[in-house]
Amino acid sequence: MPVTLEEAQIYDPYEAYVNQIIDDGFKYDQLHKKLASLPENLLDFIFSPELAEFIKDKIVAPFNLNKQQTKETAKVVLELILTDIYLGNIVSEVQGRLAIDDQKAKTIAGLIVAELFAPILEDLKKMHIEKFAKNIPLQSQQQGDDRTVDLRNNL
Amino acid sequence: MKYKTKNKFLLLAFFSLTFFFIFTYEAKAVAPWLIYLGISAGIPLLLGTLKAIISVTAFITIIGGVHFLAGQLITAGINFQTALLDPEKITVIQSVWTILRDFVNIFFILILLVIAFATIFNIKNYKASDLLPNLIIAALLINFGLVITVWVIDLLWVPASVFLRPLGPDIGGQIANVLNIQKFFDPGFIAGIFSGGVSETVEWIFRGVLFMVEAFIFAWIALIIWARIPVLIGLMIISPIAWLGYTLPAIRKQSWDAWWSKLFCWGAIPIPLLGLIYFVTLFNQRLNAEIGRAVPASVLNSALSFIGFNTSQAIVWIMTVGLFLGGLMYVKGLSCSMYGLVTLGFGKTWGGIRRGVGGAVDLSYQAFGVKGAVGRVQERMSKEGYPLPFFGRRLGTTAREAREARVEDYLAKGLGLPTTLASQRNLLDNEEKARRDIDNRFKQARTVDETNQIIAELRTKIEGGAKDPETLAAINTLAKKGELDVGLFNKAVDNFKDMPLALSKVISEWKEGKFGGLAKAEDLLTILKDNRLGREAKALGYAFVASKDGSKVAEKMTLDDYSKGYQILGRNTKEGREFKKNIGKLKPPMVAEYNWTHRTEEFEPDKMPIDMADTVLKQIEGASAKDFAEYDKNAWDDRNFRAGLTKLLIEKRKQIPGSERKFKQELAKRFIREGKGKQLKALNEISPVSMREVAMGEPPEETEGEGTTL
Repeated sequence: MPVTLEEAQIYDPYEAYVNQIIDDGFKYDQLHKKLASLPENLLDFIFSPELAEFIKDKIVAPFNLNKQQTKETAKVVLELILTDIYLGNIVSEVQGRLAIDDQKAKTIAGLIVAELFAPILEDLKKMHIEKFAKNIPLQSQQQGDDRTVDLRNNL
Repeated sequence: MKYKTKNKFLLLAFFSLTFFFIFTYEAKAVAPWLIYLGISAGIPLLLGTLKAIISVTAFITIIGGVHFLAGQLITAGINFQTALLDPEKITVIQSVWTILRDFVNIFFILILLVIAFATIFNIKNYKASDLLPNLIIAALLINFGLVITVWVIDLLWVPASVFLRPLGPDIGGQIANVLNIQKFFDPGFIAGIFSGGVSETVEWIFRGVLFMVEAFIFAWIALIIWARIPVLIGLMIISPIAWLGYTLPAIRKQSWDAWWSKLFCWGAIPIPLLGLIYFVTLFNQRLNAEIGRAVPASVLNSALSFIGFNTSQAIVWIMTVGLFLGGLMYVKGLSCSMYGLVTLGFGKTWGGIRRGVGGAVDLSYQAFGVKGAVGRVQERMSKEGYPLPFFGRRLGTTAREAREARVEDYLAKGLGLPTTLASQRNLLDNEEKARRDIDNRFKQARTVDETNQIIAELRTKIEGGAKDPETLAAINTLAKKGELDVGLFNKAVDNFKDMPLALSKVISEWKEGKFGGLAKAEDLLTILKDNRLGREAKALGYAFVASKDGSKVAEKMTLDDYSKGYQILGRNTKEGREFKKNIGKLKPPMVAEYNWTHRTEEFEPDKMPIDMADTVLKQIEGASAKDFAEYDKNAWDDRNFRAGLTKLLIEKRKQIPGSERKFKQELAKRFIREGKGKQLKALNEISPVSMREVAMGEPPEETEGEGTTL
């Protein structure tokens, strides 16, 4: 189902994010600096119509998410692409920000990583490893936290 | 011989006198001596008189012969000219013409080759678009060249026959009657002379002088009539060459124009000639009858009565002969001006027909609500160079304009006004020659310093302010090189302000130099508002502003600048439409504002916008994301522009839901890539709320509150 401009406020990662920070000049500028520095294919991906449609049809509708949860899902997706949050922590991020149970969070994270990010996953992994290699939360790894995704092995 | 004869007479006279003295001395009588002396002196006198009589008789016979012969030739020439100029009767004309036509047809193939090469190498005046219409016309009409020539000759004979009819078939006799030649040979009149009548002798001598003048007039008329026939036959035969000349601009003047000029010149001669004979005949008859009433009898009787001469007769003779001689001097000139009159008349008539037809169609179109459609089509065809002869002004434009310029200059000169177009064209022709010299100097310059030296010299030349081709060449050279600043340009305008063609050339050259030399882009806009510049020059400048090279100037354009430029270029011209389109691509709110204030002209009644935002919408609908990225960034500050964009998104959603988001995404992505932060911010400020506000009256779309399941 096509997403209208009105619906894009919650389904579209860019729209959802920008609407929240539009009055904050600093954050607004930071966001666009990051966007401008992204590789061509990642920027195309962010502004592809299919992104919002995926969130709407494959995540929000099946999991019956409300507007706030929808917005958060869209924002998490953008933050992952912008490497603001670590891809390995996607499950905990989704669980925490959407305030949903662990199982649901894992399923949603799996959909995002395996299906939504499929066209850009390799580029995304490289970016995340590059940025987070030194700061991968060791504690999580040592404890065998199943909410953490090991980018080197699991994906 | 004369001396010898004279000496013989003197010797004869001497011996006669001696003989008389010797043999009559003895008689001692004086009277016989005197008789001898009288006889001796009378002999040479008698012989001299005899000689004079023989000479006068011979002279009269010769003059009479010229009279007779010329009279016969005049009558025969007029009566047989139709037959002699008929190719069906004189078949040799047709035969020679056919040979020449077949020969000339070979050249048409060569001209096709010339056109092909000229089109490939883009040679001015010889491209297919320039020559092909003429070539087709000539190739077709060359086959009717002989018929057309005969038809023109026949046509020109029609007005001449108006004068011929009352004169009758014996034109020579008519002229002889008018000049009263018969009186010279009247036996009663001559008998009066031999009877010693003084008045008869004086009149006979006067008539003798007139007789010579009359012979001259006769011969002159006969010569004109008979020279015309072979000249016209020659023109018939060479008509294929004239049609060939019609196709090639380089020889058109010498062949096509010259041929028509000669045809009209010689073909039309009978009109003034027979007209002259007719009017002089009429004048003579009336003057004979009316001179007694017009001039008091006392004057007529006393003026020449002391020599016993008929004054009224003398007046009639002098006036008749004077009219004949004066008229004959102007006959050729008058008939040769026929071509000029015909072409001028044809041009004016054609112009009148075009205006009439255009006006009538325009009027009828107005009745159907399409105001001025024909005029617009005509203007478009003219501007866009459609090679169609009707309505447009493509065919023969150059020749007509040249003729008009000549006539304009002629009339202006007559009224004591300065010449205009022709002198300007002359200036431009000479300027081109001077330009070539300057260009050669630049080519020869080997260092930058040498080039700068030439530029400095040209600047000095311009500052000198002379109104000559060399100064204009200096201005145009610097203009083309993009070295003309505002100061030098103003100097140029001061120099040539009464010569719009020259200033148009300056602007045209400066346009090629991309108006280099101007300190600020907006300087050009100030220049284009200068009232000393002509419309054509301004149009060139505004066309540059609307081009890609002029985008920096266009960015500085105000609504007033746009309005002036659009009006000068014309809303229905190709240039005007380009101007509107290109400026609209850069400054859509400004163009929309103009359109809104001129909405009755710019929009059809059923497409009339409801407000400014709607006008902006009409301006930007159909624009791509790339177009939006190229809009002047200040446009995004415009409230109406943003409202128009919002309306555009609403429209897109109405047509295909979701397409408005895709379009916004395209815009956002492009703005991020191109670093257009201002545009992106304005775009991001378009929210569903603002869309609802703009939609005005449209029911807000159903939205759930936060936390509500979608």
